Amino acid sequence: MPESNPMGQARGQSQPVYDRLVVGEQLGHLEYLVTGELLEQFRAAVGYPEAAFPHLAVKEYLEVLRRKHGPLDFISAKHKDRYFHPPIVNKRVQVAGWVREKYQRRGRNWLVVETLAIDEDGREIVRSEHAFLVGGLAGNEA
Amino acid sequence: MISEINWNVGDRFAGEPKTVTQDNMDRFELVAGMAAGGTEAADGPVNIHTDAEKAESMGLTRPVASGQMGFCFLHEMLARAFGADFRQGGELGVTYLKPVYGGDTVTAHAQVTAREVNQERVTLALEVWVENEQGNKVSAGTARVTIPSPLT
Repeated sequence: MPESNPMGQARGQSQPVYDRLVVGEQLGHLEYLVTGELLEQFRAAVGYPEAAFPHLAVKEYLEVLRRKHGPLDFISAKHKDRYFHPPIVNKRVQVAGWVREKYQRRGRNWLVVETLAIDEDGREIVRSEHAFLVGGLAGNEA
Repeated sequence: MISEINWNVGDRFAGEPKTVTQDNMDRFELVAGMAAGGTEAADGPVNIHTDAEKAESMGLTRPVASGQMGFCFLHEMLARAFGADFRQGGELGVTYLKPVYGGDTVTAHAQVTAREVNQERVTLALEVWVENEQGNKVSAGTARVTIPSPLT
C-alpha cells in the first residue's frame, strides 16, 4: 500500500512482539463505556448520523493486542465482522481477543486476531477477525 | 413475505460518495483513544493515520486513512439497504487494496451474487468494494445478509 520505500526500523521494533505471539493465545481484556460522546465522534468521523458500531474505530483487535504485548507497528490487510446487536449507549462493552493465525509469507510477518465483544448484560455485539502485516512494508511491495 | 423481497442476483447499488479529510481521520482515531482511555484519550493516538512522521517511518508518503473508514462506508451502504437485518446478523469481510489519503473521494458499491431461499427467509451474498475517484478499487470483499434476520 505504501507508495515508496522502506522502513526496517519499524519492522525491527515489532519483531520481538511478533516472535512472542502464540496461536490460540488469549490477548488482553478491553472494557469500555459506549458514551454518547464516543458515538457522536464516531458518527462525525464517518459522516453517517445513524452509524451504530463504533468498534470499527475503536479497533478492538489492536487494543487487546497492545494491552498484553505493548505497542506494535502494523498495516491492516483484512477485516471481517459478524454483527449481532448494535451496542447501547451507557452500557459497557467487554472484548476478549485471541491470536487466530500467525504466518510468514514472502519474508513478511502476518497476524490474524479474532475478537468477540459483548455488553455488560451479556448481549453479543460483534465478532471480528483482523489480519495485519506486522512491521510495515519493505521495498516497493504494495 | 419472501415475494416482497425484491433483491435479485445482478442487482447493484452504491453509497453516497465520501470525501475523506484529515479532520475525519483524526476524529476516527480519537474514538480509539477515548475507548482505550489513558493519555491517548485527550488528543487521540499518534499513528500512520494522524502523523506524517509516523507514516513515513512505515514507508508511506503521508498519513493514510484507516482501512476501517472504508469499511464503515460499506457498512453504512449495507445498513441503509437492509436495515436491522444487516445490523443484527449481517456479515462483512474486506481486503484493503490501496491507500486512501486525505482529500480522496471514495464510494462504496455492492452487487448481489447469490440469492438463497430457505423457508421464510432469503439469504443474499454480495460482492462489495470501495472505489476512489479514479475508479480504482481501494478495498474489496463480500457481505451476507438474511432477510428477515433470525436475530431481529
